[in-house]
Amino acid sequence: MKPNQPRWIYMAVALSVTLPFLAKIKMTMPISEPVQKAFDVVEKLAEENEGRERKKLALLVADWEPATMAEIHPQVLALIHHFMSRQIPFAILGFRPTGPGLAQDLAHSAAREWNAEYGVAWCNWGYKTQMDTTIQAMLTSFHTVIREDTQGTPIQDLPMMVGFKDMGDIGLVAEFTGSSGLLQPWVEFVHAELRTPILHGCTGVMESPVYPMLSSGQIQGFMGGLSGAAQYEQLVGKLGKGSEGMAAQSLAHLLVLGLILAANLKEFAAWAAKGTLWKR
Amino acid sequence: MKRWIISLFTFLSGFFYILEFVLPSHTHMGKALQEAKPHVGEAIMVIAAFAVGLGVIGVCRHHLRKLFLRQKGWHNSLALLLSMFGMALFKIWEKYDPPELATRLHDLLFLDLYNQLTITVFSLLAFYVASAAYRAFRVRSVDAGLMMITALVVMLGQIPLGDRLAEWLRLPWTLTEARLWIMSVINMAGQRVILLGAYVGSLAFGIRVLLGLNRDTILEKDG
Repeated sequence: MKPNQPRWIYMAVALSVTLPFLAKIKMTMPISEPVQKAFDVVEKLAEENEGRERKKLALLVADWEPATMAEIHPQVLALIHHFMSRQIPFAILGFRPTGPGLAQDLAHSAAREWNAEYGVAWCNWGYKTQMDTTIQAMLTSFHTVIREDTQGTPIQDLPMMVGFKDMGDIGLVAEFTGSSGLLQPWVEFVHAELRTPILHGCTGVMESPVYPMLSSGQIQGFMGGLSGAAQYEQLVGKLGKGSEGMAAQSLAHLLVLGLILAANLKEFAAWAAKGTLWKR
Repeated sequence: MKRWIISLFTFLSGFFYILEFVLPSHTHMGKALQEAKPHVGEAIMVIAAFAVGLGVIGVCRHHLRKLFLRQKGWHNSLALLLSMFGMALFKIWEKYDPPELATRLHDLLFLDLYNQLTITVFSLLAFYVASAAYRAFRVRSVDAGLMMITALVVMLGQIPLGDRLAEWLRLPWTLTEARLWIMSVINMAGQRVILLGAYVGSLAFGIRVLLGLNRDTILEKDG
């Protein structure tokens, strides 16, 4: 067996990511500051809504594609469970064609569990084009942009939308995406103008550009990758696919680590054999 | 002539948003621009919808020509056209007259085919990343060594086993904390530098587009 043959590496990767799922091991993570902040923002909105006749909505912006479902879905599902447990009404909106449909499936599954009714606990405003222009138009004349939900019902006929005037009635924007550039318009237009708290969920590889925004207070919390989802599930008290995925992720990361170390040891051994190790 | 018309509309639409942002809302002009903003936004959305239509026409022209002339790869063109019109047809059929068959066919194409294919292609990344890590991540210099150590800490900080490893090694901090420090201090400094440079660049590019100085291919053709 030649260990450098890709097929052995591929087989090891396949086993490392599938076996833990079959074993259904759920692993917990220490809660990081960005995820704790994301949880606290939702809690704050729930507290503000208490005793209020007309509750502020949360806006769930579904901008992900099926390719990133594995990381984003556990994050969104945990957040929806949080919204429903704290009775925060939320609306789904997306600027990627696939996002709102995928988010709707998650909302349906959580709604069955919480016995939450469509139109009262949540609704779907669907897919919109031209992100920057639409957000700006939503700020100035909301009802000309968002007229009806995906089922064709005028939004003012939905019980949760009665008395909804403008974007000021949105208490939180939760933006989920696996792509770059989709968080900025919410920060530039909505947070800058109305100071609406922004929560962000993204894939693990997209985490790094988010830190400057979190540090400067442009966003109020975020969860990155499967690890972020697992932490949020712990905070909500509902371990799901995020926590299940941590075992697979652990094994896969250890495998990559092992491969890097093995490759470097092999190279060092070759240099030592040639007597060139200390000349480098 | 076309060049001038495009340049003029580009300048006016860009300048509108600059003025709307800069002018105070209590002035007569500022108020008028703010009132016009939603209508301008709607007009942009309508133009964007036309752009999608133009895109569809362009794709159809290109692939129909390939199909009828039986050029190399015509099978792929046929698959593309069938997928595009099939998806559109079943969605429109489902929206206006929702029989069970239309919903099933749409779900078959979208949920069972498109979604699964996208997930499959993306999941292949795991295999390539692992293979690339083995082949390419070699410590051949001090810089490469630092990068590798950073990558290992970030990777281990993403998993629960990382902290247990740090505990076992009796490190003064957990790997989750170390990862967070790398991401929120070292990474953030680098990201800010990159973002600042990118935004200055995009500002310069925006001004060039606004003033019609950008040597765009469409404008060049027309002269």
